Amino acid sequence: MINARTLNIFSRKASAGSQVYSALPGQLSSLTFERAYTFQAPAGGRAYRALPGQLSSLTFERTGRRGSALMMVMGILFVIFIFGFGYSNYLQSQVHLLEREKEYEAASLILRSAITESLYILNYDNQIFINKIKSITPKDFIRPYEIYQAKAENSRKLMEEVFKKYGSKDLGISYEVREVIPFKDFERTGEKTLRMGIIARLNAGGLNVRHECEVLVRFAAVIFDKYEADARIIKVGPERASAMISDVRSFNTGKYYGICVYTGADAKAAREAAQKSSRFRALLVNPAGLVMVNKAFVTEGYTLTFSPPVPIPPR
Amino acid sequence: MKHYDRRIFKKLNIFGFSLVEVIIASAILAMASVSVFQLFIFATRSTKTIYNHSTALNLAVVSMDQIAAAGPTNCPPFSSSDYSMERNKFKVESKIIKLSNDLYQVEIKVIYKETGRDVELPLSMIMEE
Repeated sequence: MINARTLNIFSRKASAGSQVYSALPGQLSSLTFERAYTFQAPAGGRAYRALPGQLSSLTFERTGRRGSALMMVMGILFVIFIFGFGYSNYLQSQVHLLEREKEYEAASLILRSAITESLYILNYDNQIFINKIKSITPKDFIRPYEIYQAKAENSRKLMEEVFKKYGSKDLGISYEVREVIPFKDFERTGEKTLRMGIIARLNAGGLNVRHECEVLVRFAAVIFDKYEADARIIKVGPERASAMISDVRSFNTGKYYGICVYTGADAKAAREAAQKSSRFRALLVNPAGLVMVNKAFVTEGYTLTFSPPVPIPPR
Repeated sequence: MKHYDRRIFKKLNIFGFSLVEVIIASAILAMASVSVFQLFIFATRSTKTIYNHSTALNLAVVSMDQIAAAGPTNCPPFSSSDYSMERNKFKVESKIIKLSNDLYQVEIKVIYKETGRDVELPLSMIMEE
């Protein structure tokens, strides 16, 4: 038998002084009472009258106490698993991203190497490039006009070594003309300033990296006779002994020397060396002594100089 | 309590848990604990890997930039330096190889220990004098 005191165990809202008891859902299933009680099921809002004797069944919305506990445990575990697996996936993706970042960094360095190397090779060794530049005129120029695919064998080897795990890989460096600016005065045949883009691309596996730089290329005749009197000798460094330059007028008009050889501060010897061999390096130094460009290729009385490449951020 | 009917308590099943219930509950808890424990191990390992990898990459890039700024001819052909960071020690090795008159290949290798083994992070670049 059960009385009001016993009911206190099951129902927090049980009141011994009152005949109305509020049973929490899921707490009672079948009870025997010594006298009549009235139960209110809060979930259903329906009152039950319990008469003395067996009350066969009370139906409440929630399941039993242990069922609830199991559901709570399952719920907590579910939350732990969901968040746990989510976090582990996030960490795994971070590790993967870092691996890719390393590859992107390596690819980026290879592309910078390729641009440096291609400019270096052009500086010394490319008659085709010079001939193409000589033939470009502002009238027939359609932009962007890709004129040259550069070679960079050392950078290619580097790429092969770094990305050897990928089957197919490719490195391409192309030079395209973006603007042709003719010289203002005293223009000789073929002389011009060009704004050129250097585009380097690397594909390896799923990696596709692109670097773009812009250089100013000046193609100018080397004039020894007219401005020879204006030429000066500037000591640049211990190895680069001298630079013969013309005066300010030469920069304004685009006529300049820009001859620097590795040996000696003797202007005469420098000029002779420059005339004898195409494999020398030239410097273009402004009257204040600052090096403007340090790349030049002399061929058939012309010099080809490049400004330092300026990286263009990706669009 | 003596005037209470035991049958009611038995019917209500509020005496406790049976052995089978306890065993099943323990098994579920054990399985869950193993998974959660493995998750903790994985998370710790991943965090270490991420820290080591990003630090090594930063060190390699910074070393490369330093050589590029100073010029390859102004740096020793071989050099090695140790860095003690908050959680690990890193060794940075640099090697400068002359390719032609003005071209140099700079190789940077960052070595660190992870779970008892040496991990290397190499970066290479060709630069001009």
